[in-house]
Amino acid sequence: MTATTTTPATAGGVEIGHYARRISENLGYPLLGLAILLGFWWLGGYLIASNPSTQAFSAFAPESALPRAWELLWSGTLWDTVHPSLSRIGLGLFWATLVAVPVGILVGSLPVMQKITSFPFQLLRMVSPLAWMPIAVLAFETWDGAIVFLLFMASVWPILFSTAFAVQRIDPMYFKVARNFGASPLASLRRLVIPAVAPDILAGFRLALGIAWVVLVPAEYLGVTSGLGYAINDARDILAYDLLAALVLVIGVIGYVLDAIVVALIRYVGWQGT
Amino acid sequence: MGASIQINGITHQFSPKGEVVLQDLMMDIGAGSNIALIGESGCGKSTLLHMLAGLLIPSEGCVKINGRQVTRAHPEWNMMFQRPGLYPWLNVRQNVALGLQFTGQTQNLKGRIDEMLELVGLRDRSEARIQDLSGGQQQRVALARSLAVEPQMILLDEPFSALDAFTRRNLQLEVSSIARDKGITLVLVTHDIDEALNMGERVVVMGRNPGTFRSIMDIDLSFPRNPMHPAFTEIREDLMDRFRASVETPADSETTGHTSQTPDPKEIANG
Ligand SMILES: Nc1ncnc2c1ncn2[C@@H]1O[C@H](COP(=O)(O)OP(=O)(O)OP(=O)(O)O)[C@@H](O)[C@H]1O
Ligand SMILES: [Mg+2]
Repeated sequence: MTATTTTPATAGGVEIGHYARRISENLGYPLLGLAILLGFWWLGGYLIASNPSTQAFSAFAPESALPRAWELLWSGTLWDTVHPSLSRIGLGLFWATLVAVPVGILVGSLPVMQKITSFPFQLLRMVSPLAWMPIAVLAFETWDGAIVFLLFMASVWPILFSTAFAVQRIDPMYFKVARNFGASPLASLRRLVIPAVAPDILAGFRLALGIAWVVLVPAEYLGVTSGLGYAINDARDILAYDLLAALVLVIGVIGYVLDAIVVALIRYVGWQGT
Repeated sequence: MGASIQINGITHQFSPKGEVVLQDLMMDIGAGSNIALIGESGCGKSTLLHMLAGLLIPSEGCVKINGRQVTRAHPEWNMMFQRPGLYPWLNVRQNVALGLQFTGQTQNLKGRIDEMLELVGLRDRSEARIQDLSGGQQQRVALARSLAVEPQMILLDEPFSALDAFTRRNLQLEVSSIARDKGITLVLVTHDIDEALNMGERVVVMGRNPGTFRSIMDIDLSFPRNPMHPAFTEIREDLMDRFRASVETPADSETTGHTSQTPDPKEIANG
């Protein structure tokens, strides 16, 4: 009798244990990592505060920065800061994708194009996007235009290279099948090449987003009077170190969220894998 | 419905100074007939098949289909390969639809796909991912994709060689009976003599260096053929001998046989 009544309870216990383990694996480690990061931040803040020569910057510490971030979030001004940055990065990535995908497909499908472009593209790729700043400022009427150009230069290469590489790796058998049915080049492009390389285009896009997001802030130090980079610079000028730290936090969080969106998208279009 | 094929003095070199891969090939294949090509590895079977499909142009001579010279690939002359070449980003139905979409025949797409899936016995897997199918099922999808465009001719390059014996035999019987039902001309390249005898109304033995037709044998056994029948066994022995001869004797001393060595076919029909 007792045995029968305890069995379901034990099973429930096992069940709960199982879920606990899964939750701790999915959430526990990231939370632990976050806690360690916070610990370092706090330690940094403590060291800054205890050193007389850096004491002025002590608002950088989490005790003052976190409340400030909370305030920023609910004050309604955060969006005014984030929005220009997002639209710049969106435009930069948009133009980069628009150029990189067709050029990448061309380079990937024509060996001659690959041979011709390989050297100049590798060379250009190695130039820091910020090095284009003086040229961008001359070439574009507005600071906004110049920044979008910089973001374009930062993000075009990863998309272009991963597209070209993916096109080269398409199984020749797939082309044979298309040719066998007398497929037109346009039909092959639409039904074969683009779907075949879509996951790689997005993987390149993810890299590009990462680079562009990093380049965005220094690019916004110059000229413009809006955006996250401007806000950081501004916070420094008015000695609002808690705000500065809060903005750094915001930049990190938004970058993470944008990346997570692209990762989800890659999963969605992905056909590779078993 | 089926296409007639004329192989018209084909000689082929892949490069102007390269070795002669095929030499002076000559054969007529009647509309709706089923031909099996066997021969040693490297004798040019695949090369010839690509020419029939219009995927490769011979350096001399030509292929004529229904009396017209072949200069390019055509959806009504369909080739199936050892690897099915299905697109992994599409599911089963979408793969079957591919040939129709490539050829622009998109009217009544759904109905035709369903019909083809029914024909190859994959109706219940129509939404499955390609990666989740067995090798035999994948080859069936490829078959449905080919049949959907209502081809006059299907060219098979060892399409079953990667499959287990049981699946292979089933597919041989199915493809062969579908082709005969629909009057499709079938040219099959195989390494497997039993496969050639299961499917071919005529078996052509090729030799290499350069590739030539060494022996052409009409098989007067009715379908479906029974490999256990004495007549089948006898023909198999004969074919084995010819195959061995094609491997051992150089091309110059060839003797092209045109005779069929068949015992009473009526008797075999009941066997
Ligand atoms: N694209 C090519 N360029 C140069 N030589 C080729 C090419 N394709 C095939 N060959 C050569 O032509 C000859 C015939 O090749 P093919 O693939 O037609 O033989 P096969 O009879 O199909 O052989 P297997 O039974 O192994 O498939 C071989 O010697 C091969 O090396
Ligand atoms: Mg071959």
